[in-house]
Amino acid sequence: MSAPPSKPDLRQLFDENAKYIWRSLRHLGVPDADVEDICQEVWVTVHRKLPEFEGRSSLRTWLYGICMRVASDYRRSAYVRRERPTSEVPPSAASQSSSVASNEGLEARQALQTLLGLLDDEKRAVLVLYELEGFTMKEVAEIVGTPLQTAYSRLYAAREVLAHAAREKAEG
Amino acid sequence: MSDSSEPPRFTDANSGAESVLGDLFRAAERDLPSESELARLKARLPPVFSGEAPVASRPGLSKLGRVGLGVLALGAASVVGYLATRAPERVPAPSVPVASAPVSAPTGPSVSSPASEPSAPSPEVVPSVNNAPSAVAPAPKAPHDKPSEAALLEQARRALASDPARALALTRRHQALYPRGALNQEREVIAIEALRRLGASSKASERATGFEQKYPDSAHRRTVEKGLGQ
Repeated sequence: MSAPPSKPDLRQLFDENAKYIWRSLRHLGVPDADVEDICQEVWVTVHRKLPEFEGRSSLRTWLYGICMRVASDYRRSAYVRRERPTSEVPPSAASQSSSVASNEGLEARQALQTLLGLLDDEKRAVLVLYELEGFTMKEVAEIVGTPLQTAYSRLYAAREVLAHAAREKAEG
Repeated sequence: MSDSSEPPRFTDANSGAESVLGDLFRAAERDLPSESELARLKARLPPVFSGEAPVASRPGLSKLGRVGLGVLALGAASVVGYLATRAPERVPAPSVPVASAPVSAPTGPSVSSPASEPSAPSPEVVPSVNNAPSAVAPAPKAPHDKPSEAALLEQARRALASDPARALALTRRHQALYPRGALNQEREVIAIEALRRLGASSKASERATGFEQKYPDSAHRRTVEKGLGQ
């Protein structure tokens, strides 16, 4: 009989993934002003649910599943819908972030946020997980909780929206 | 991470609109939080994330259940949601009974005189006709009965919409039981919103001012300001 998997170390899990979770939340439409709060919510949920982790998926996909659900709940809240244009990066908030070291980086982030804002939450999640976080499509489907073919459909649709918008912008 | 059956990523593109998108995604890959941002986040998490002693062994805190922590985190973050869904017309008429001095704590500093909070005079009497005792009687001091910080504040958060007087009383109970609690900021956010919903605008503003002075870098500051329409 094989030994049960050792309990994941929360500190190690945080140290290895926190910055990527932060990055993902930003690109899933959480404004800069709320990213820290929502990150906290993700990690407290991780802390609470970790004993239930059975190892049927990788720890990273399990972690991102929580991240997706928390981000989705946040965006569905009336507060966000009424008070936040989530496709915009507020200049004051962005300028406070020392992770965007140059104007060029800030412009790139604003441009990508604008494009991602063209997508609904489902397509956006699939695109961010695949294009930005580098998950395989099988992992993406598992994280967002859909059949693989559905995940592919959303990815192709999202890519087409972005490619079309990029072409239009290039054509002036 | 990709296999041959998966479409190439934008970052793999060499030309055309896809390569422009690739540039944007490559920039996004570098869009990571700073060390100070991560440190600030870690400081807001249970000590286990820092490799410190479990929460239960820290002085001034009861055993914090995992469920309580998660529930509170959801509650603290979703105070934002409550504030957004607030409707001014839900502020009750002056006849709503309000908790007052009879809500007293068995130990610790005065219930409604926070030890270091300049903006919450004692007692917190709001302009209402009735001064009925709070529906929430303080629990006797028995360690095994002492509710966790998280549980108390989650009860308060849930009560905000339907019974802000009870929510306020629960924050006072938290203050009494956990004068140096880890969730004082969250308590203050709930208390300020409860005061606002009870029509005690000046009290709410006073407490908000005290909050901003005590916690100038709080992540909840914006929530507090928005709640007061600032």
